Amino acid sequence: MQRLNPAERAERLLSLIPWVLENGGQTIAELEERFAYPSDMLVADLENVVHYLAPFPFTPDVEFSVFINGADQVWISNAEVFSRPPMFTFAQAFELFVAASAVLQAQALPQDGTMPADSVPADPVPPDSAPESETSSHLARAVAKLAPDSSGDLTQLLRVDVGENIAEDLWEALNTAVEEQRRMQIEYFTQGRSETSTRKVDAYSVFARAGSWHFRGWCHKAQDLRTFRCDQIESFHLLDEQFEPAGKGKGKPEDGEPEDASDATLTYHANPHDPRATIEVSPWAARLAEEYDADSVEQTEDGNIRMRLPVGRRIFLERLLLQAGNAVKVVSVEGDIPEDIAQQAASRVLARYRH
Amino acid sequence: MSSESRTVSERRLERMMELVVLLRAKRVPMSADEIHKQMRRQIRDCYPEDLMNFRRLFERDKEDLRKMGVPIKVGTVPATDPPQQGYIIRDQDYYLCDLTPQEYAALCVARGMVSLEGSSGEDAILRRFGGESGAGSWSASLQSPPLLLTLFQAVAEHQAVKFEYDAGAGSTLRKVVAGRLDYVRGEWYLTGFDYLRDAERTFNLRFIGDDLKVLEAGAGGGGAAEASGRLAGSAVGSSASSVADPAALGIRSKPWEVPREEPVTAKLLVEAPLAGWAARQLGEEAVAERRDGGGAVFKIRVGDPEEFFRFVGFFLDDAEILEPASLRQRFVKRLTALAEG
Repeated sequence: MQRLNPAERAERLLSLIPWVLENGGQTIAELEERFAYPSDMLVADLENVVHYLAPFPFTPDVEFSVFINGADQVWISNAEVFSRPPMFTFAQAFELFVAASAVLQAQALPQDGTMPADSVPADPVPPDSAPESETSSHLARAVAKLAPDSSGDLTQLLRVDVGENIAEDLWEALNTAVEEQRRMQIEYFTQGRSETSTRKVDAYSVFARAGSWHFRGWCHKAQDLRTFRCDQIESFHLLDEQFEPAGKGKGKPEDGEPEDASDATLTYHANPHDPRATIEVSPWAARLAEEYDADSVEQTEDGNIRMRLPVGRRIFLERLLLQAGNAVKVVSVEGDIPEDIAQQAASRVLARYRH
Repeated sequence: MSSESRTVSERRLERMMELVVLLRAKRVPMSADEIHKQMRRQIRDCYPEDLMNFRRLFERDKEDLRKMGVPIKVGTVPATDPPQQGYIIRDQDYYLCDLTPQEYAALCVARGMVSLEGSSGEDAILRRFGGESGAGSWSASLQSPPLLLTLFQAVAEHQAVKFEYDAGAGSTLRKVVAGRLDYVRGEWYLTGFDYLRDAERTFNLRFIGDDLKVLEAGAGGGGAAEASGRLAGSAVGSSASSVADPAALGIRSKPWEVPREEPVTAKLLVEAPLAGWAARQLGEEAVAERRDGGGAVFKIRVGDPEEFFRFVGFFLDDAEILEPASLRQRFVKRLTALAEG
């Protein structure tokens, strides 16, 4: 665990002290894990610093008191001045607003509004009160409490759709596949080859990136981990076959660790032997080229973006050139890519219109 | 324990923690001199006796505490003439608002599911909840353009912003009362009242120049004063509910549906290998005809031909614009220009 400077430790203590006040008897190991606070530093700071803090004005009888017993359990007393953690910074609150807005918008919570059983503490509302059945309403209320007073209804000011609509039956099947570790068979359209293939896949995680829904899992056809775009699934069905969770058995990543969707790149994986093309793109058209895993990206003097791209399949570059039109030009090519690739592709399409 | 027996970093940690205690204890702002005196009385030698050196360390402590969310506010010290600047942490600013366990849990789960790319405060957010973390059935990672936070602050405070906007048709100056932010199809959009055009407009953050300035309402200066005046009478005003639904402004439409020209209905033939993919992009309701061999003809409403041509370009020679003739001819002209280099 990384060593912490005094400011980083202060930030942790301002949240840790209220937590221990509320949950006395936590062990040093638990606190280390919860607050990412190396245990040796934590013990030293509790014993050498927190124990000697005192409310203002100082009188010796009201010093904070830290007690660590033989089982490494921690109690703190006389520290009511830190009974609650500090408010979020504006940037932190914004991240929470975005997350909450995305979840509320995606309506990804189950239809009955319940959360996973281990995620939500028992509802403290007395039985004769109106029951809290909508978890999304918990989220909405939390956002309303955190919102700046001046903003009014924050849900009206921020709306986050993390992914394009996904067919409800596919959404349900994917969630079932992930939660119950059930193998799926899909008909999958591969853009680069313009062909559809049948694959058995073990879906590990569902995620949205760049505005589209994807899933990551083990592809039995490729015998490797793959990322699949949900809108390229032609058809699917759940099989009565179980698969081992990621990290165990056949479907494990090479490093043996469970696959983290956040690490899954959506760009084309460059092969060192792929031929390369250098193109120049107008800034407004740069997003069309973002799917490429560029070797280099630089801004030219006139504000354009120059990129050196691997071209695993020529069709990707042809599509980019035809989509962007005069907003992109080929500067140079390597390998067997023709210099006039844009002209050739345009001529081929044009032939359709001259029949 | 004497202060001498602590390490340097422990002494700074103690000083920062005790500074929070002190500034929260007072009901009125304290001058820096008073803070210096009180802190030295509380912890001997926590700050140097020399005021210049004290100021340097005090500024650094304040800066670090503010970065972690401790709201050290500036105010006038009572009964000072001339008025003297002082510092205070008010309880109502300091404390994380009172959340129920269910609200905490829901926020933790949402935070575990959705993150902004490049964000650095993730752990600090969850530590406020005692290091709780939650995981949902899916996750999402959203791009985070540099201006995003500034624009959200402007939206939350109903401020006007000034920026250069260039979405490919040349750079134009915009002065916009920030109304709302939307994340759609992987892009962030600002919607607001553009008072240079006297109408609501929507802007892709990707094309907003990074020299954006927030125009403080009520502040002096020509542009700011103008912004201030327009704020009160704008369509956005101070009421969030008056912002038009972005669907009406085209954010959630397909890019080629946004009416830049008189809309036409196009017929697009897509051949078999790509017809299924096209149907998922356009919706089954757009299928006008199924062809033998698996191809399909789609009826598509086109308000922005350039965006439509970009869409059609994806299919290369597996698609053909059948109707209307005018749109087909424009596409042929575009292709001819490309073919001739």
